[in-house]
Amino acid sequence: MSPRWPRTRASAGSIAVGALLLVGGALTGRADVAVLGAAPLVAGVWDWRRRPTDDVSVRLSAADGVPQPGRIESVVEVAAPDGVPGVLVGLRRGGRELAEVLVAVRGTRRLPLTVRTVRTGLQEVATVDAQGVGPGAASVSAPTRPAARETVVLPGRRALDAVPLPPRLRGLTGAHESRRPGEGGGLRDVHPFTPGDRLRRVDWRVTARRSPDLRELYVRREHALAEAVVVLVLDSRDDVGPDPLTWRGPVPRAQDPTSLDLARGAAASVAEAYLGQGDRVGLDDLGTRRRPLPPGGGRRQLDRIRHALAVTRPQGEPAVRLRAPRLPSGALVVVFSTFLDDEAALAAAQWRHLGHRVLAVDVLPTLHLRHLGDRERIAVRLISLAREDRLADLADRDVEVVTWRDAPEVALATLARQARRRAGAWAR
Amino acid sequence: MRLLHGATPPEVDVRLGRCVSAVALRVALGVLGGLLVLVAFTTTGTPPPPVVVGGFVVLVVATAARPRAVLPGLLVGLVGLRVLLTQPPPLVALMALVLLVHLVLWCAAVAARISVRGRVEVAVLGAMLRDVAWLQAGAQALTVGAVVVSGASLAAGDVLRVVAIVGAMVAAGLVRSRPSSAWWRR
Repeated sequence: MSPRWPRTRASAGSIAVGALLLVGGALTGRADVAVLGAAPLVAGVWDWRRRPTDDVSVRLSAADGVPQPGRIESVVEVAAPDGVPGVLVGLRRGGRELAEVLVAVRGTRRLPLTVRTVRTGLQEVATVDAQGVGPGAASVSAPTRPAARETVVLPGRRALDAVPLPPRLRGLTGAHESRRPGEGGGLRDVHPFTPGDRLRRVDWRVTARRSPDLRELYVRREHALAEAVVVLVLDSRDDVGPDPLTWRGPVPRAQDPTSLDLARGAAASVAEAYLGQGDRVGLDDLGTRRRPLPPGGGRRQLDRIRHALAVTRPQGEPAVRLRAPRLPSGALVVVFSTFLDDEAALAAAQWRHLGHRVLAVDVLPTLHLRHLGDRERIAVRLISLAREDRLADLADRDVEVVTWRDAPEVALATLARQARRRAGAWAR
Repeated sequence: MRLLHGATPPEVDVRLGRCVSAVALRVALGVLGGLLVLVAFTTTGTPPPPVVVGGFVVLVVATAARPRAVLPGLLVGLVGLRVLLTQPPPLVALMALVLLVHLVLWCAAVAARISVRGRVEVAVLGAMLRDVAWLQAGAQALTVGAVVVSGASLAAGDVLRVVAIVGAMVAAGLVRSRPSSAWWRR
């Protein structure tokens, strides 16, 4: 048989003072004093005798549906033995006490729990523990083992209207015109008929004008269609929040998106934009040495990319790369990084040197500096200066820099238009 | 709960029944402690000096702020000492003291279980108050018996008050005791 729940100090104090009043009143012959202690004494003894023996249990389970960015729904299931008026449920997240509630439980109770967070990826939903409170709060059970649950929140997406294209397109299908002759694109030229040309390509008007006696036929030739290959390169070595004081210490608040949250959202948005127009998108990670996700197309590829982004996180001290990862030739490279150190910038510069068109997306969140002291401000200022120099150097090397926190859809559309206006630079 | 314009919603939200905050519980404890002291010092004996009043005010505030410590027991003990050192209070005052002593100790025991930022479901308080009401019915009857045994005479008004208070206690116990299934559905 399980031992009864331990008594509380408040209950012991009530019984002691009740007994004291009762005995004092009896010894002095004052019935009015003695009755003052009667109720606390009887209540304490009665509550002690009714102390439960069975344990309280708590469980944290997932609610129906897929967790969405911003809200994670769960259910706290609390079970308590009969005769327990309440169970004290405590909720923690990221090492912080967030809620404590004393709830009524008759047998089993399911408490819907909503966690509001802008964070994405693998994360702790909450850690829950419970302690039964006996009748009259005269006894308490031993606290349960903490019940925790983790979940993966897929990154959200932002609609992007226009995105820049790589200098070279690939394949014979897709949504973009290539420079090669083929079918599906716009008019390339009018050419004398040669063996192999289809008869339905004959342009009879041009033929009648140039060869009225029909000695030669002229056909209309079109550009072929092609697809772009885009490689998203995520720099998962950094996961910094807007508060610089949390960069080497506590976890940022749930309301503050970190650089990796912004990078996940940015990469998912860019992937959706390219995949939506029929291009092929792959994913690589600068922070880990694992096989990259090869370029592919379609809805399934978007799901693969979003899941790969969601499970990406900093993993220990990253190994130093001697050279940038190899990428498919002619691919557009989009690097998502905070550029707080040289590695991502060096890789971007190497890819640009190899002939890739490179977009550097700055995902450092807007910093909160008001609460910083003078020393921290100076440190942040020095880091910011080095970072600005790094980004300026990238721009000098013909790497296009986009800041994700400042209307990125406008910047990407501008880059897409600029590339079309440049003579010979539009992807063909 | 409707949030004010611009307020940040809480990070974690647990959907519960009707709740009171732990702060409200502690305020209630302070009010009950203040009433206990007020009844003890105004219904019997001479008015206390200001130093004693100030000391009790500090004790009541400290009890509400830290119910987990021995302060609730100390407060009730000092009130009992005050009653012991003066003339017996009138019956109604004594019944009020019996009720307030019990409520102060019960409220302190509940408030001691939960931190200041916590919340308590009203259903939990209701279930516990039902037991308090049953015990108080007996305690009030005992109080009347004690006054009768000690030789004091009961006025007609006192009898009516006693009947009313005991009736209220029994009614509260009956109303608060809700079976899990009604008898006509068993």
